[in-house]
Amino acid sequence: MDVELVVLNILNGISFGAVLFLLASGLSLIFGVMGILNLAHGALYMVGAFIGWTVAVKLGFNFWLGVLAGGAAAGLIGLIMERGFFRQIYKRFNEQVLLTFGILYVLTNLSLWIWGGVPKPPFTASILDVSFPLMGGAYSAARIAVTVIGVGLAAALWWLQAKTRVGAIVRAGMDDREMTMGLGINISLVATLVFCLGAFIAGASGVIGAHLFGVTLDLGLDILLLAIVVVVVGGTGSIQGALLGAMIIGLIISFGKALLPDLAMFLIYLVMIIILLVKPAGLLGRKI
Amino acid sequence: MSEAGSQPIKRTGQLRLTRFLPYLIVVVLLAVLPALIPSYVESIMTKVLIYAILAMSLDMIMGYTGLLSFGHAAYYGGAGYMTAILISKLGITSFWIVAPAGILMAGILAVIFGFISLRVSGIYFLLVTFALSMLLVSVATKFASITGGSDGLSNLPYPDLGFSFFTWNFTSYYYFVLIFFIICFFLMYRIVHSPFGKGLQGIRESESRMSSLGYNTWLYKYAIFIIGGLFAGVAGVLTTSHDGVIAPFHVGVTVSSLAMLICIIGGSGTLWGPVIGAAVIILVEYFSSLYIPARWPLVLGGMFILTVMFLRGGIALHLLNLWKKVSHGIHKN
Amino acid sequence: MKRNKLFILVSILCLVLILSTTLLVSGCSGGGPAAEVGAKTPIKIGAMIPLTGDFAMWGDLFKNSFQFALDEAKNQVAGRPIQLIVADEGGYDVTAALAAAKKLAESDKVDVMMAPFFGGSTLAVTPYTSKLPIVSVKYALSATDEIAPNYVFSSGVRFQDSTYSVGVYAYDVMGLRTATLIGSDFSVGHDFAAGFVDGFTSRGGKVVQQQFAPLSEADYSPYLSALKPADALVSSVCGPPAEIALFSAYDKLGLSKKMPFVVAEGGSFPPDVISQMGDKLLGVIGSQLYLPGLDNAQNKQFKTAFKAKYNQDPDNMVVTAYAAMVSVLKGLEATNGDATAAKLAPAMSKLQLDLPQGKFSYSPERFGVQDLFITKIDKVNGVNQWVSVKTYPQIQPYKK
Repeated sequence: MDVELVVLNILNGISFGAVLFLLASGLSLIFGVMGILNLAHGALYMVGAFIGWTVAVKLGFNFWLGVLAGGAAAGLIGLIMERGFFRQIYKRFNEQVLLTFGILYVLTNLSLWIWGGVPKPPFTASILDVSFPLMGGAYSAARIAVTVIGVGLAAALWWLQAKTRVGAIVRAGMDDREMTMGLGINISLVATLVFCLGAFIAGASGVIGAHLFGVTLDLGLDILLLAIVVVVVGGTGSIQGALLGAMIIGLIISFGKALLPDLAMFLIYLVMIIILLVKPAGLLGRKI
Repeated sequence: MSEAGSQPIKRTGQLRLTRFLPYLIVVVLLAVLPALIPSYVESIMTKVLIYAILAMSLDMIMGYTGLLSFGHAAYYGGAGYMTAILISKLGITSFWIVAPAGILMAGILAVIFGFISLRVSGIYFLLVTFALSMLLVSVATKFASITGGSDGLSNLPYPDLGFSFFTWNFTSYYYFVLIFFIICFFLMYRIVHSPFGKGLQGIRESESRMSSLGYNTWLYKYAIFIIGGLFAGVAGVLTTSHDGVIAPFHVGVTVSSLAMLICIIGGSGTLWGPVIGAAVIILVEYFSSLYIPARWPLVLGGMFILTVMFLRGGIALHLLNLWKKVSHGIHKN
Repeated sequence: MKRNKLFILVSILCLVLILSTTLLVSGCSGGGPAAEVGAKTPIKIGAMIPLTGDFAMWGDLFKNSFQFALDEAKNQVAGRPIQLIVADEGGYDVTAALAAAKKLAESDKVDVMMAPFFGGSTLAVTPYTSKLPIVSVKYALSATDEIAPNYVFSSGVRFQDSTYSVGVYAYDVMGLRTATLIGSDFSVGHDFAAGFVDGFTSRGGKVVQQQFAPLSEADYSPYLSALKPADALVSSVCGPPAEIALFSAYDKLGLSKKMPFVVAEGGSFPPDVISQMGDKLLGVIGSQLYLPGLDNAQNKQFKTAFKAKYNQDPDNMVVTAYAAMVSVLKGLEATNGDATAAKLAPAMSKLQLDLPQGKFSYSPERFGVQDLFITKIDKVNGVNQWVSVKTYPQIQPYKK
């Protein structure tokens, strides 16, 4: 096997995985703490990407400002969703599906209305918009940056979860909600904060990932499906799990597409099924 | 008032009437519908009936037994593909062969997928069933020489019943589907109201209790999964003639999620809830796409959100309460 | 609180009941016996357009193109007014398109139909329209199967015909001898690829590798990592999202130094995408069915009028849709307003039109016949755009 092919695809897989992690971490946190499978999470990613595009490309501001704007917009929508609807549907599966699907439909159509159907080309910060030479070809600096950001966020979230009081509360809330409430902790405030954080990350990662995926209306559902696979494989409620799952999926997709393009998606779902049968809590997760 | 002795019989007779009156009204309404509406709306109503069968079959698994199955389109589309392949690729057109073959295909898929999926439960069951249906989408897209690939198989005809004097149109096909709908509803009704059905509901409430009472809960769940798959297959066979085309779309996430949404909005855990849900979602989608062609997803999404806020438990539950109040009022007089 | 909820529920139900009854009843009055060929009864043209779903980006474009043609003809032909009825064909959901077709045919009782944009939907719809029978016209590039049933036309050329000449050009003019191809893995992508391969190999070239990615593919780096050495990279991916994704990945991996980028997809990289992607696109070769700079009287007038009306520069999509509608109108003119399929179809087959893209007619297989332009992205007056480098005139469906 060609060394260049292997190296390229390892890099591709990791950077792809980094974006997946960004999205999956929010999804996993929300599911772990609130017991809600947020099918609208991908839509938050999409809206963040569109807002970031508007700020960074259409209006010409700084890219990182666009990232913040995208995250803020998604966080705001997340806040409305959580305060308005979600607190009533904790662990009520039917309602979650209906509500999050409804929000997905609404957000997708509104985005179509506001930004039109034409997809936007990939964009990134101007300093990152270079390629540096690699093994006879080149590799994009932005993809490396995405990977760094992903891993960095993973470290930050892990530190938050493992080493801070807030993190301890979140973990307690995941393990035993009633007990945590009984200890006098305002679990609903924690839940809101977690949800908004997850939403913010989703929106921001939409802008960060725009370099890899561009900005299209399909993002809502396509990326969500992959993020769900990542959460399953890596394990719900676990940051390390989400990172591991994302890397695995990213690598499988990259190598799969390069070597067996017809079978890449098939392979992904097969892996998902095997993991679910063998270790349902995921590789590093806590069982729900 | 008459003697005390005859009271119970009279009350039972009245009770029975009140219980079956709604069904009677609905069947009569459905039967005379074609006379009231233009023929293309009949085509939409046919779609409602087909999705009603699909959603009811899912409801037996999801609403009555509590198994969150998110890949139900696999059996619907699988049956559709079997039928379409027999007609298009092998030239076998007789309904009496292709229909049972399609339903059998759905059953086989349910036997295999059910066995795999039931090794886990809860949200993991949901994800496995989903992943399995996505595998089927890949297969349908990949083996293009058999399945027509991503374009699917088209130009599928109305059922060949073997009667040369009979010609099909929207109206006759509507009645054809209506007959299947009534039969399926009746069969599913008997299943969920049987001891077996009661056992399923017990499993939904508490599987551990059922199992400690000596029930083989795994067998119950597996059985209803297969039965639900078979009925989904019926819907799939009926859809080949209605749509005239079978494509990977028919085994994909859109159909699976639509079936689930119909169950939830209609009211899972009842049989006629999904019927109402099918009518509501499909008719709302259809009419809003006529009048606000570019914005209809907003209407549909808005409807979902409003249902969660105001009609918790589904439309059926609230209609049931309404009906109880009305019939209670009638009884009092 | 419960009372409130009950009240809301009951009023919503009543509202729904009233609404549906009025809708159903009004649906009844839309019909009546089939429209007679009377002097003043309107001719109804039903158009299935992607207003929602995956192709929604072009929905308004098509609507505007049709309307422009109608306005030019003053919304009437042979003394009969014309009524355009638009329906949403949806995206990949062929059942939605079929339902729209049924509604147009049964309820609105249209006389002519503009077939859905999406090939899979056209495949499902045209057998139905052919049985009615009414003439239906596909207003974009298409495949043989789509227009095989009777009375179906395609104003767009066949997919593989739009790329065959690219293959010929690549060998004859660019001097390429080998190529590696990446395409979208569905029938259209395969057709585009087949056209290039047939054209290229007919001159003696060799396509050393073909990779096909799912249509929704967002990240092409893995495929690019597996490229075999060749004189050029040929792209048969479909639609702006894929075009953008593939080219970006190609550019980021530094491949532009190793092999030129040739597009084998009829009409690609619309103007707004070109302007957004900047100078990296300069030098890319592709094929187009239309260029704003075309030097004929029709185009000069059409361009300014279309831009003035819709504030948009016409492109491939616009002129193909425009051609479809114009051919219907001219056909109706020739039959003196008779829209019955048996009369209209032969009339349309005989048309010889002068359109913005040049001379236009229908081949015996009922595909559009027009010039094909091999184009390069060049900077003209500071603006990057497609510029014609060679014209292959009046291309007909090729036989292998």
